[in-house]
Amino acid sequence: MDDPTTGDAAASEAVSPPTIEPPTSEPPTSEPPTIRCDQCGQDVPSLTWCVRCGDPLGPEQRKGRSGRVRDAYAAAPGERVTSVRIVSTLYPSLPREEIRTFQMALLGGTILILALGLLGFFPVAIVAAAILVPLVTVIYLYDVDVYEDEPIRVIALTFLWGALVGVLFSYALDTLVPASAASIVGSSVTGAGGADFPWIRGIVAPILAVLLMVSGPLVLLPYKRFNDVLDGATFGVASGVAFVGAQTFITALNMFDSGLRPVGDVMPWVVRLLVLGVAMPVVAAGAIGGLAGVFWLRYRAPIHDRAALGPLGQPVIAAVVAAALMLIASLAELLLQDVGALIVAAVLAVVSLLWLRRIIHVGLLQEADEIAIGPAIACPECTVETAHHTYCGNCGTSLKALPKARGVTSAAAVAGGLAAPHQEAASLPSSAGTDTTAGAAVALAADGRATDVPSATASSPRAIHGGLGPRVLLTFFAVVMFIAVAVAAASAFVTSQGRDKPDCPDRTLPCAGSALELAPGTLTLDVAPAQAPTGLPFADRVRYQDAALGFGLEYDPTIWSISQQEEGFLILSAGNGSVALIFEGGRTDQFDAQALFDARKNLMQDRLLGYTVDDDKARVLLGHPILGYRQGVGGLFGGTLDTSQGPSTDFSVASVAATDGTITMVATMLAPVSIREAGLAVADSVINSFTWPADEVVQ
Amino acid sequence: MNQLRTITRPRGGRLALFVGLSLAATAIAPGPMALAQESDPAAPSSFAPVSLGTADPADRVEVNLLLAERDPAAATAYLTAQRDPASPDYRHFLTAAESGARFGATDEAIARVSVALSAAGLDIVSMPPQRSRLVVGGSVATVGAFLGLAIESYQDPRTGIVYHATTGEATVPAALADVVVGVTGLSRYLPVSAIDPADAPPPPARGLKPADLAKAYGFQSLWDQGIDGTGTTVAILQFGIDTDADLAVFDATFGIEGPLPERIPVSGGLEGAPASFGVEATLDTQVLRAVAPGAQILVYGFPSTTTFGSAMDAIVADGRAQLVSVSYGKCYAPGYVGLDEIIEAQASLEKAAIAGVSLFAASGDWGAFSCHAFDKTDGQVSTFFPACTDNVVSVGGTLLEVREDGTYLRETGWEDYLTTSGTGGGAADVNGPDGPLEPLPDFQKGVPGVDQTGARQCPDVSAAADSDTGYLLFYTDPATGVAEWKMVGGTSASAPFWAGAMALVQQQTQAAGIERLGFLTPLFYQIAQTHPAAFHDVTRGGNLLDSATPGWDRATGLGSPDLAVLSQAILETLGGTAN
Repeated sequence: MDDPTTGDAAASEAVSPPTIEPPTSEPPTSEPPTIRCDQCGQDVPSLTWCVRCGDPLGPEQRKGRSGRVRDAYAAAPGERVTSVRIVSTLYPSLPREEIRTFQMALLGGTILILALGLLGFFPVAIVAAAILVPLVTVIYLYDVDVYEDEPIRVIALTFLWGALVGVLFSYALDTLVPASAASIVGSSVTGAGGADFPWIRGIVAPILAVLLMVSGPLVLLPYKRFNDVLDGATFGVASGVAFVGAQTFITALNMFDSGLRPVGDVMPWVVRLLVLGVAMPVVAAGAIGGLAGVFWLRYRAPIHDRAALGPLGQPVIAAVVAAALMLIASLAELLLQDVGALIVAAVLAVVSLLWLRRIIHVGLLQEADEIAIGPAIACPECTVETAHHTYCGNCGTSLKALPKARGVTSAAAVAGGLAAPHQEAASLPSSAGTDTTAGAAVALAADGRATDVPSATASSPRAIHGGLGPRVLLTFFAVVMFIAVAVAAASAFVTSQGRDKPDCPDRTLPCAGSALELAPGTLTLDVAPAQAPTGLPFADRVRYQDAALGFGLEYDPTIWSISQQEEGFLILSAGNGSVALIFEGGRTDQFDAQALFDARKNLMQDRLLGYTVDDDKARVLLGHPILGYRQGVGGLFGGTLDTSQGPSTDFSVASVAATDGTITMVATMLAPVSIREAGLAVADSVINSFTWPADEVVQ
Repeated sequence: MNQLRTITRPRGGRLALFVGLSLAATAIAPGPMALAQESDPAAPSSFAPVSLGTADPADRVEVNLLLAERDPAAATAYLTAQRDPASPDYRHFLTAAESGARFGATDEAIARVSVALSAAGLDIVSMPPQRSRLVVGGSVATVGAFLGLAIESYQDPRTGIVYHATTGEATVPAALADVVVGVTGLSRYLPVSAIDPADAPPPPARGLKPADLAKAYGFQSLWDQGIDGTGTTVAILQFGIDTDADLAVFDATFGIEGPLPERIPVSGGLEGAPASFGVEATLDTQVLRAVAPGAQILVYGFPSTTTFGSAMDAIVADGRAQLVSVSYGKCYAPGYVGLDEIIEAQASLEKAAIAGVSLFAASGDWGAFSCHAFDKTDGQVSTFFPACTDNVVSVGGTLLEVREDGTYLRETGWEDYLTTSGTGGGAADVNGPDGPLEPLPDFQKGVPGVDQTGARQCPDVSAAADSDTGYLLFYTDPATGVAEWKMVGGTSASAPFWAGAMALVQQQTQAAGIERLGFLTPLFYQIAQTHPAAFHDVTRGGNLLDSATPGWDRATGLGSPDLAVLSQAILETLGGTAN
């Protein structure tokens, strides 16, 4: 790691108490009229807005109110600080005229996600959901050019860091806690048994994720040039959305085995996509942005009063709050059904936004107190001249929240050689040295309105930011989304090819039987003859007998192991837990086959996202359903394993229920779609070995 | 699509993009899962042939012209008489040449066709002794012009082999319409493997060995008497390649000896046969060996484009085997097998029966839904071709259970609901322009359990086939060099099992002075009535649609053999003297 102060020779020593040097320029030779601001209690130029605290001074802005009326959001005075606005909260440095563009991008992306979900293209929809907010964030970082001087370091330690640890974290979780069919089963239809609580994914992972997300931005904490609360918040937001997006994307990769349109009920999916695409990124952005902002507020921001946020301004408490937000979101996903989880996620998103908004707001206000009123400058937002401080006296825009743009210096020179006070001293030697005379050329009218604005600046305020413009922004956004969706669709299509193919693909040709071949590794020879296998051909199967209900079955211990057993309830698992086979039931006077079958279906609806009947003609189960060679009811279903980190693996579920007149049983097989055929084959073997209490004993 | 004989040449490359993307997809698949280990990530999405456009007019192709019998009713009448003890033709079997001279196309008809072919620029490659067809060849241009077809080039995406095919319907000159009744032999595809490693579950360390079969099906006593098939000959109609080396390991492991199989390539033989058919071929040979180790096995290797009719003609014409096993087939339904191919096979199998040759055909592994094997969206109730035609022994499958001493305990009709697999069976309800193509055969008339208003119903008999009770075989994968034991099931195993079992019986009957067993299906139905203990009646399980019931049923037919009893019953019925 470089010396955190590299590139800033004037501040090459270790972290020092934050200080802000006021501009070295001389004040204007003719002082404009001043007025006492009710909010900050300071004498400020008599403009429409207080240049120190952004409080409305003009009668229209005050709307007849008197005293302290400032409740406008410091980064966007046109909004209340308590209003729930995603764009101006996550992207506070955004020029006002681009807020609508970003809102349109987010809205368009959300509509795209919903449309894909409604059409059943779940893997593609989830990719769109994973990249929506991160993509908008990247566009924001590029567009406003906030960290033009050190883009690589900032991007690497915020957005890329979040994405990287998100990817690694997701892969680690997949390895540590692979998709387990047995864990999906839950309790039996009669209430027996029950799945263990997913502690790692549900509790540990969200907390660990907070630490990972915030750790990248914290590396930037010692850098003197990133000494604003807004810096910390921006870093946290970038890291948070990138992490959540990467996590959603990696987790969802398992779904690509199922093809473009996997089995699934649309409405639960639409709800889940809203959570993943909008709510969770906002929660993460708010939580991590807020947490990072608190760190900056506490250790880097050039303020005297670090208690402005109260206890929430303490990093430890803020960390607890951030972890709590992520944890509650995780638990809501685990414990609540579709709409309930969405409501909780929405509430958490609102709370996160308000928290982050509050931190940004307080940070900007506190920093304003540190600075003396400087010479007149051209507002980079409205191009009208204003006094050099925190807010534009004419449009109320927070000059602190504006980008640290390369265009400011030169544009300011065009406008009179003045720069926004937000620019660091180290980057302003030339403009600072020229603003005395230039400032003298700028006169403020007695009513506080600018009277002489250079036409070049006035006609192209975006030139100050070096921004892209709405059309370019939206086009770029649309193109990237389209490419992502197209690549996802192609990948899902290609990945699923070869599945559900018939044994004999060409109907015009002769075909042998589907002789299932089994390669017993224990019998593998090289080339030399071996001893003939001895013993009965099929004596290696293990017999299981249920004492309560009297049913029995046989299973191959090289394939299956018992993962849970109680009276009348047995779960066998295979393939490292990826496949499960459940037997459950009761006496016939308590259950009939259809009731048991339906009960298991209802249970699975609670356990798998979008759980519904798999009515694909290529997979339909033909003939009469049998369990232990007794005919009953059966069917094939599908759904997606949903984790706190997002939908993961598509599962196929086959259920068969039957009765012998004494007991009624249902057997259910769960397997990931990618190994569905193998799972069905090995389950068939056990299901056919099932014996009923009423079965005739063959001697 | 019809396929024309062609000069095949391999071309490299499969759909590399698909392979690459599939591998990439595999790389992002979930964590390790044992069940997924046998999946084939490189499997192409479809084996559908790829059109390469119009064929080179100068390429050579060969087709079969099916010749009209001189009296189509005569052969059927003779077959009936052959089964009638009161007839002077009772059990009077005809060689292929005798059959040809008696029932085949007339010299005049052949001459007319020959003249027409010569005038068209085509040459006659061969004619089997049954005089049932002419194999004719010529350039793409001349064959296409003669048959009114546009011939194209196609490529098998699995192997890269290029062949000729047509989507058109063949027509012959009007002047030949009374002597040429169809055009077949058009298929130039390589065999399609039904053995998909991705479908295979992980292996249990178990499987049926020769001794297990002998104990369970009652032929240990025959073995003990030295009855192991010695002196008999069993043919396998084969589209895949197995090796003597693997058979040697099998023999040595189980301490059995027998003559090396004789491998007889026909019409180009097995050149170009995909390696994926190796397990199927190995299954046929080693199951047959496991039951009748002393029998001489003849492996007739055909290109998979060969029609069943022409293949059987070749085997019958060779005249060496009375017992033939085939484990291949098609869905017996419109759109899966052509009318000409059905007619050809019926004629061929009728001649085979007249010659006293029994074809043991696998009844299919998809229960009552054979078309499902070829099109997963096709759930129509259907049977397997040629297993559900007349004049074959249709062999179904069971799940076998044995007692602790290895003797027979019970069997269950093989049906696996979750995988839509099970013993093939049902009624061959297929209609041609003149009505049902497979009317109820005489041997099924009056049989309890057989729908007397229906068509030919199958299977006739059955044996262990469920992969849960699969057969052990030794196989070396030519692609990887991995040599290992496998446990394999399917009616592909029960068909050669029955052929081998009948080789034991044939050895007995030969010793009793009965040279030919004759076509066995009617005999089985007869013996089921007179010696019910000769068959293990299977009354459990089903074929996914119909349940196994007492007596004949559409899942297991008459049942599996108690060979000790069945062999004696056959001896008694045929009038021989038991040893």
